[in-house]
Amino acid sequence: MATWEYIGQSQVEKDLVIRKTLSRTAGSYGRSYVYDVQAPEVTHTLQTEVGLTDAEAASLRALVLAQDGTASVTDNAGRTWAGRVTGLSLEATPGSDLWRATLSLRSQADEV
Amino acid sequence: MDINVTLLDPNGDPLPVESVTVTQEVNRGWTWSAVLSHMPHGYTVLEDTDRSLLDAFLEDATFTLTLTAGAHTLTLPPLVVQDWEEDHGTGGGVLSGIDLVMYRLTRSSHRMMHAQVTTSAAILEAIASDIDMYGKMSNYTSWSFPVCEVEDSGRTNMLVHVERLCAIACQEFRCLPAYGGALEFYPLDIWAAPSGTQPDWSSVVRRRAWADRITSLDIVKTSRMTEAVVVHSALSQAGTVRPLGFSARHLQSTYPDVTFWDDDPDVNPSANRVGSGGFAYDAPVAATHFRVEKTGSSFVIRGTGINRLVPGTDLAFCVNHDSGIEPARPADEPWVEQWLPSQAYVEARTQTYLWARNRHTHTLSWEGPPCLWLPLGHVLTWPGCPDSRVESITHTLGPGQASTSVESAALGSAQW
Repeated sequence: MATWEYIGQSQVEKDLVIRKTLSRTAGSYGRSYVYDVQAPEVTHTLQTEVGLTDAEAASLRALVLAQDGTASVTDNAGRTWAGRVTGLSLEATPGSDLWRATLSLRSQADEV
Repeated sequence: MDINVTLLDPNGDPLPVESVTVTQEVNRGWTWSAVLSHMPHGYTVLEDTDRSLLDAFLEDATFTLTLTAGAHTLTLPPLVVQDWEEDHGTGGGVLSGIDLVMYRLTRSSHRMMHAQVTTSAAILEAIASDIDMYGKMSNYTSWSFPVCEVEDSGRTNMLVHVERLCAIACQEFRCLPAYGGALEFYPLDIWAAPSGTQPDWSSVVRRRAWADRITSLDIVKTSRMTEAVVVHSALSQAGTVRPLGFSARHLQSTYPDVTFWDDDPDVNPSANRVGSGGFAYDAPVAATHFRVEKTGSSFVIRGTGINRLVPGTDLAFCVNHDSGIEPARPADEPWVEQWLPSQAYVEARTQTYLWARNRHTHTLSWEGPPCLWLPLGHVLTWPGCPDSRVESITHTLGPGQASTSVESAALGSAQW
């Protein structure tokens, strides 16, 4: 993996099934039923602290394009982030020939 | 709340279910379908032989499906797979089928005509033993049923016989998980009171349709009663035994708590009771005496015939109705009851029969959160709507889906 530092960010999202019901009597709300069916989706987002060169950006792109690509990276605070690579965003930094990169990883904790 | 689905293959191994839909319907048993997320590991070996998941088991091998939503669990009767749709994109597919009882009722061709006894009890017994299942229709054990007629019309499906019996008897059946799947027959009760617990619903839709509606009903009573005796209230005391004054094998009393005997039971201890409940039909020996079992008011006994009957030729009434459907479906055909019906009996039967034929013209659709405890026949209420009884229940469980949909038929005067 790259030698530059990452800034880590993690996001957990739940997809609840919420069923609101009608009330039998006027002037009151119906009850709501909530079903927690699906495992939460855990996504890690890692942003590069400094710019990447063209060659470094190309190597990250190759990682995303490869099938079953996984990555394990350490951020600037020494934490380790691991998962399936699900996305890469490259943004050219104005006034330089460097790229700012954002790498998205999906946690593999719930995989069979 | 939790949602849980367990589908076991005939070996007892769990299958990877993504979502499942099951439907239970009056007189139709269960249908089910389950989406599998991927092919279970144990079946991948089938690919080497170009065979699919269905080829791994016998045609009537049973699967087990259990649904849980919140505090309620629903275990379906034994299920068979009829269709396997393999998705080569995801590696999974859709398994679908029906319950074992309906499978056995609908799949086979058979011969019923060799069963010379054509009472409802004999037919049901023959079917039950043929499909290795338990099924009993209460109160109609001695009902003659024209099996030959059904056979002649070219249908060889056992379900046709069962449906015909149900239509005539004004009964219904459902398939229960008990005993590994069983037909439970129960009287069609269109006067039932609203059931206690009512589910919560997200949507309630009421439908009215005039299509296929039966608008006329003719009842022709062909009983030929030749004898009659009037029993005054002074004699209508419990325990009173009196000679009829004539001999008859077919008797009907306007008062039900009367039994018929071939001799005076007070004098001759070996006298045979040949009829009870206020009627005797085609008794093996002629009745000469009656006994009042419960004190009542005056009543009339009518009777005829000292010879055994040729079935279906006497003492019957015929109901014809004009459904306007050609050709007539089995349940639309005229039918004959070999009974001695009272007026109240005929009226009640006629209303029930008409309701059953017209039930599809006034229905309600319900949809809401999973309600696994809801049984068929449950009477639902909703403000501003007529009471209705549950005729079909569909449960759908899976990611993003958790619902119970119900079709019910309006009850009471709203239906006529």
